[in-house]
Amino acid sequence: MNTACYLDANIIIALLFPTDAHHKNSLERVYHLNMQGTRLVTSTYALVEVISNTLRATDPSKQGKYIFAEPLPQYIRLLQNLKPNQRCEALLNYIISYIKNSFHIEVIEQKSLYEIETTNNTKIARLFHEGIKLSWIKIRTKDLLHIAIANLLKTHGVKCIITTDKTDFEPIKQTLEKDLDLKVEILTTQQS
Amino acid sequence: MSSNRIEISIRSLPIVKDCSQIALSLFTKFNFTQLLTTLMQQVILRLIHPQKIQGITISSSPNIGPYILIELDLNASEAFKIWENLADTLYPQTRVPVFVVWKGEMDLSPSDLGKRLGEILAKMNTSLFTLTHPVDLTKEFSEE
Repeated sequence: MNTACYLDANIIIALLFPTDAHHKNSLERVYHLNMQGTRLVTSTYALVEVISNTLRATDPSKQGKYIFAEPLPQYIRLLQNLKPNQRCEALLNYIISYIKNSFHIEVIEQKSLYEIETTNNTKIARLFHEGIKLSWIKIRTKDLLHIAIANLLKTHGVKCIITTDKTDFEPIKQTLEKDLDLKVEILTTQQS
Repeated sequence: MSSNRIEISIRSLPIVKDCSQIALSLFTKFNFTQLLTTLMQQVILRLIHPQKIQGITISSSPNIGPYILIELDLNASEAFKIWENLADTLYPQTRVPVFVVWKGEMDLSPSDLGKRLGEILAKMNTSLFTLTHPVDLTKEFSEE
């Protein structure tokens, strides 16, 4: 099985927005890894974060803050005219197709992540059990779950996490490498 | 109408309107004549009945560059079939992104709309979320 890298939601967002500060770095890294034959994976959990944030950028109330290049506004309006949950469904499918076809990023879901384990007569999904077991790592819960998923996806060859989040991942980088055998790659811009 | 925009009539020989010096110099480097010939003769008329074409515009925009916009008197599902075909046939020859808009009904489900839009735009190396200005979304979203 080829080595795989787990992409944090912020990398997917940077790839989707060509004028984002992290776009160029993310694109170059993704192309390089594609050339090397390293598989790029992300999770449905990351997609929740990507879609939630992308919706904010396409929110009609934010018009003026985010200006889309012509002729894209008419397609953005098409999404805005959908009912809210339909808009989310359209965005989900757009993002899956776009990242797969543009960057060869696979969205991985595995039944074993949701297997029900038992502790103290209490049922708990394996993913959340893993998150709890790793909660000694000093990081926000949102990021802890990405780490838990990446750790469980080692069975898919995941050996590293790529993120743009220097603030949260830099302090725990060595811990993840030493204790979980998960390499952390932080993509930075000149400003960050 | 912006000064770097060219409209083409499909029902007769190409009629170029509003063809400013800027537009000409912009499109010369993309071999405009060849683009038009390919567009008119080899691809579009083979795919679309001329009566269904409401307009073709060649324009340019920041961060996208030159692009072709085709307005069709069709439903979304029919327009998408043509758009997919154009992305497969026209874009590889011209490297100019093609966009299709339709005047008819939106008869695609939200998931089908998203899936097919993502596939088409990926083929043309164009992101739906191309903005006209720089952003740092990691920073912005973490601060909200």
